[in-house]
Amino acid sequence: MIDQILEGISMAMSFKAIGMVAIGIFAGITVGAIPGLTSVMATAILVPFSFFMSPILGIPFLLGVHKGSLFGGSIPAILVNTPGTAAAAATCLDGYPLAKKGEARSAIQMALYSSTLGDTFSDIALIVAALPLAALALKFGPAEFFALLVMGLTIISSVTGRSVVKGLLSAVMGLAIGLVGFDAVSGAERFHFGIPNLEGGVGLVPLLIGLFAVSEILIQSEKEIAELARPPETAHLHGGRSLPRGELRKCMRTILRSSVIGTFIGAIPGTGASIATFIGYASAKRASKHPEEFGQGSYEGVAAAEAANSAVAGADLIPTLAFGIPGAATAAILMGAFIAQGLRPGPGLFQEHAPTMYAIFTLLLLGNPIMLIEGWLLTGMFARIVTIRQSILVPSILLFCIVGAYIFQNDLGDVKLALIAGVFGYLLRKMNYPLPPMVIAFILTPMAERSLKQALLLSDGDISIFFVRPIAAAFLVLSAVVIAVSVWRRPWATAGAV
Amino acid sequence: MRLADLSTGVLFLVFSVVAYFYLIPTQIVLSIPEDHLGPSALRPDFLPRQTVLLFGFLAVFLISSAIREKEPEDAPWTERRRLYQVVVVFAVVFLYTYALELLGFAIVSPVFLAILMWFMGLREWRLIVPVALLLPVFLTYFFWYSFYVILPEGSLF
Repeated sequence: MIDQILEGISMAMSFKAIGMVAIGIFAGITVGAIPGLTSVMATAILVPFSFFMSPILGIPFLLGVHKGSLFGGSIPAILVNTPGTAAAAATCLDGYPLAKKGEARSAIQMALYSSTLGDTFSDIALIVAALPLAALALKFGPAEFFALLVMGLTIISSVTGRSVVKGLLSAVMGLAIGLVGFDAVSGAERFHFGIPNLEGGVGLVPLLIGLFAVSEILIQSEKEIAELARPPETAHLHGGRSLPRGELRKCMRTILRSSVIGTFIGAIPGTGASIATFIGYASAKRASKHPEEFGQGSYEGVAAAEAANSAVAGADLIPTLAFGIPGAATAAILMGAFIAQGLRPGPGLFQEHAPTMYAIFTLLLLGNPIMLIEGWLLTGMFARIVTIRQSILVPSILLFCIVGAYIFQNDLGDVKLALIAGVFGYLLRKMNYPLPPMVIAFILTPMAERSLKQALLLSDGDISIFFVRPIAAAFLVLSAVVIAVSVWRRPWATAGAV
Repeated sequence: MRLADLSTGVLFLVFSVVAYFYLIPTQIVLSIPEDHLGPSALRPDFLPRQTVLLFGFLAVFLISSAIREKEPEDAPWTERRRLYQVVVVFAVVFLYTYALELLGFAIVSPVFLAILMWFMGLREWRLIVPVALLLPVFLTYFFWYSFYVILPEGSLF
């Protein structure tokens, strides 16, 4: 194992690999700094770029995008009181008042330090936890694995969004889309309706770009024309001094607490950075000696929110890499990228591709000081991005979406597929259906069907195999409990809830 | 009662029925003789059937919840004008993809960008022209020099 770790580290220590992480972080901060454009959207648009690179370059590039966008979201939150991503919503509460006091620069620097520390903590947790969990999952048979996938999907569907029924419907739609193409066991062709682009199944990239990016563009298009064309208010851009060291020292306990909270929440499938950030912020306020300063421009508030949301970046990969169950939308997209690179996340990943995985982990850790340097040096430039008008950004990003879908297979059919998926995603979002369960179910369908059929082959087609094997039965019972508790605890968790 | 949920629930239920009785029997093409497929749980239509049944069940739940719901619903579209903007943006993109097939990326993209920027309220040509011209040129060269990918050249050329 030591040999594999050393081999991984040596693979990671190349100018190209480190450069790709740096480019990914730069792209992530840039997109994160644009109000309304999410980390999920950035990762979805940039996934096809990673296909032109080896796994050692492509995956760290995307992980860099994910890291960077979580910090980038804090820049517009502080400067113009508009979070760049949903995860940065709590940062507005104290970041913007600080900017109004003329301390925009030091607030962004506090966000940068807290994000980097939270992210580093969560990366270490990922590295420590993923391996033993994957080793444990290796002991599962197909029945247990299928039941585990069902449980993961049930948790994600039940806790994502505001309605359990809509979450579950979204997951079932993803399952149905995943059934298009070939049956993995018998080779039968299913539901392609003679359309060449569907013969091998619905393409992951057009689906991701459509659901997450095109739908977002359509939602942005609903804004008032005057709002789209108006440059954002930039009065607080030129903020004074750098962050005093003493201020960071005072916040270290808060950063650590939020990092633990963010890591814990991030590791639970279906949660995510936007939940972590508010819990981290609320805990910091409760524990603070000066809770009255929260909301008035407290550095502690910025640190709490940013450390918590960035601590999700590594943690949401724990269930993805160990079990092959992505816990959130970005993790699902990253899982798609792993699969496209020939690295199938799940229990076997660390056995089959150990050096590559150690190289990716090394680059993940190296990404943190790189983000610190980029954030420190380029704060002014990223702040300028906030001022670009939406009427320029929205068409430009739409062009990126189209090009991204096209380069997947050099096929305009994929562009049309992305547009159809975009309209579908837009309609679902307008009706309050969460999209992450759909994408996660879509990605898991081949794995789930394979495990299901392997288990049924072992039992001669008898489905009682899932109930007589204790671990599989426990997972299925837990799935039922999760649904029941979700409906019981959330009176609005009925179909009608929005 | 929540009308939006009720109507989508009904739509989903109808889709489930159509899928179960029409799509699954007609849109699964076997690659091996039927008698070689083994128990019904191993057949290629097993998971599709379970999926559609689950979808139908959830649709019924959605309908019943929508009928029982007393809280007023949030309208998906508060203003017709906003929906109109979305339709126009989508129509422009859709036409753009067809124009790409004929005229190619380099010619159509500047027009596409300029139209959308104009539609979104930008009236400053000193911004529209450079963005509309430079971005497609940048993307064309970036993809060629970085990944050897040629963006659509158009069937007319």
